[in-house]
Amino acid sequence: MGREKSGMTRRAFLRSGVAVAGLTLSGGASALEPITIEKQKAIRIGVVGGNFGCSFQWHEHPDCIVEAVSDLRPERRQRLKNGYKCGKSYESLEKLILDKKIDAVAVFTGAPDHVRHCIAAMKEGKHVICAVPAAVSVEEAEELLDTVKRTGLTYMMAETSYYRQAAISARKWYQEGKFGEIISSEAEYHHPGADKLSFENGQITWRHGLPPMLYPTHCTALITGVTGERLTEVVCVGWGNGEPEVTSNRYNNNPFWNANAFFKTDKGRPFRVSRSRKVAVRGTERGQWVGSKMSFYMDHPNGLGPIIVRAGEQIEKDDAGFERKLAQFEKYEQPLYWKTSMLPEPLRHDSGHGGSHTFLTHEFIDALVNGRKPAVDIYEALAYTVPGIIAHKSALQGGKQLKIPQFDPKVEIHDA
Amino acid sequence: MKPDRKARIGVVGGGFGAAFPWHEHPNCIVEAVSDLRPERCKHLQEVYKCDKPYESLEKLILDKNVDAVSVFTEAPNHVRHAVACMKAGKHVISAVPACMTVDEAEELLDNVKRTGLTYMMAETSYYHQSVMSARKWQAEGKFGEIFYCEAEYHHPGLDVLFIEDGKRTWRYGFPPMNYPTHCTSYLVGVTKERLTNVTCLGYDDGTQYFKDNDYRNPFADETAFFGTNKGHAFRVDVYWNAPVRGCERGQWIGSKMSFYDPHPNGLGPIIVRESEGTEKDDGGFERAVSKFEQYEQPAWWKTDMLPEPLRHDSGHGGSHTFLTHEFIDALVNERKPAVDIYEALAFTVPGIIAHESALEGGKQMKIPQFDPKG
Repeated sequence: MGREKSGMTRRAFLRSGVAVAGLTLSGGASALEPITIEKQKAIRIGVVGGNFGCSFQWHEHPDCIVEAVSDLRPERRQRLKNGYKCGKSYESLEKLILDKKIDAVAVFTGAPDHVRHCIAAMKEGKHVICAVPAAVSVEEAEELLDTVKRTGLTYMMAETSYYRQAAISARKWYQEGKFGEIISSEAEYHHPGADKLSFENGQITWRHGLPPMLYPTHCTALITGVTGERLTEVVCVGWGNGEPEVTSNRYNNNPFWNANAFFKTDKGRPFRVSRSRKVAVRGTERGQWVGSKMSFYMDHPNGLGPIIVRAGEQIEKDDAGFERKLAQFEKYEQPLYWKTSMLPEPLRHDSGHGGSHTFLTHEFIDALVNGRKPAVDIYEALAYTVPGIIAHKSALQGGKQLKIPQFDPKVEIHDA
Repeated sequence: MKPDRKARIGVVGGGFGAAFPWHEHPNCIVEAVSDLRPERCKHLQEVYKCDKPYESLEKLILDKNVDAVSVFTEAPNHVRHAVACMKAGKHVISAVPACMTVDEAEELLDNVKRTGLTYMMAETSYYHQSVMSARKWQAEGKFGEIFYCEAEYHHPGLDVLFIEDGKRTWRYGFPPMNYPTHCTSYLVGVTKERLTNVTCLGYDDGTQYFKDNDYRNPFADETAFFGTNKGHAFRVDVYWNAPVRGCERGQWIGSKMSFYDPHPNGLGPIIVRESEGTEKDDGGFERAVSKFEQYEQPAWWKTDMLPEPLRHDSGHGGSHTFLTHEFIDALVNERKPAVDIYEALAFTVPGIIAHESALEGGKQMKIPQFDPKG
């Protein structure tokens, strides 16, 4: 089996999933002999994006070395160099990905550039971890998936909600059957005053006019990342007020500040998502799950901690005298998973977005080192991202119900 | 009827029908009562201190002294009973829901229009104290624009009401979205907007109740998402069996202000207001910090909104005295009641269509409108 490769170390290639057949990459060729996969010592990462990209713990991970950093802006480049104690910087992603020593790239650039940047990195043989969202159109989603499949490289989306401590609890309970079936679930990402991020130093940023449902993954991760179910249909209603940011913007003049969507899952269950950028509510990224045996409410910014409710048989009367069953409820003491052996020792500290950053860091590096898929691989990433893209289309069509394209591989039955 | 006159009411239904203070209202006399079951009829006689019982609604409505009838019978009989009353020339206040089908909705509306009599639906949520606050703020423009709303009626363990004395009641296996008005009134009763389309999903809990009921209803719980004629969204839950705490509540999300009804998980009513202050989220990104405060719910029932004898707390969030007064006051002053036939159908019919949507796996459906043209 002949293969071509380019700009990728043999070690990285092996880690990326050797079983991929007929792999073709542009550039120079070198044959590979089969080698037993061993746990590799250190992944050399290139970190791109000196804002949010600074908030991960690549330099602390025992199996990771920050090989180089990059940002178009010198001051942000400097910030990356300082943060990761890295002496090697490039003035652009395009230059960084030519560095042969780099195994993987952390793409923390503007959302509309994610696919372009990820594909560029993969074409140079680099594994990729990318900020959310994975893509901003269905065409981009297809292009990204094609590239991941073609290169056989590891792609991971850095969805923070997947590793919010409460989401880790919910996923665990779901797997243990504690919820029973999920009857319905809801998630909301409210970022009031998001327009404060629409301008920087007088210039328009990529967030200016961003359609709220093109940034859905903090919410969708709370069902798809917990139960694994897929969102198959959506009705979404948007709201705008005609202000300049939602009249004229790079997103086909997206008219919406906020949007509320109602998804149907492949299990026929409802999932409601609220995304707000300008609204009189308190900022939050949260979810709640109503199960057949147990329900779980993440903490609410109006002042209520996380709550577990369990079905009860005790009878009470409502305030009109009608009998009903009194469910038992309790405050949930959230365990701090980041203190545990789920993480390498140096990463056992709190981090951004509900303690998720250290987990994202570890998951990517650990997947590369062990030649396994990361939890939020390309299929999960698209299952979180694409439903929002379609939701936005629904909103633009006045809340029309639309089907959501699915990108999961067809399950093939192989003869023994 | 003149303001100095008194409305003579016949009260039918000795269960929930006994929970309204008709006998305390200065402009109302309980002329007669009725229930098919003698013990319930007796209960009505005692509550209302009324010594004229009839053994059926059909007999009660022949009483010429009765001006109006309060129909608190089973949901599936509401239209039949309300129409019978109006045909006998009686004004009607009916328990919720107004009707069970679109055909029934049309029949009811036709009769109200044809007879010119007063019809009111006794939707309790319309007069929840918090909903009254929300309606007031909406009228004052405090919310800015309410672009999203949620309401939920969670009655876990409704099955305890499915069997009575060994017999199935009308509630046995009742389709949740056929009982939508405790929720729909949270938006429609506050902003008057109309629900124009819906997608709804149901949950089959696997119990016998949802396999063999008269309604051929397979769902214990239903969740609906409505679109409105103002381009807003409205999520409604009606749950009979789920590990949730019982409640009838809502929340209104506005451009200037939002309001959250008390939550049974232990949070009082909360107002959140737009603000220019900023904070950083836990990813380090700047955002506005909206001001929030606990709302001290005024007890509107203590005020002169009600005649003095009715200024006491009552069922369903202090709503029963208001429903009593609204109906009697509308009759005495010959005005429309707040929840007239058009509001009643705007609260009720969206749920009927939601249930149809759930039966078709969440297919989006248009909701027929009954408002007069123009």
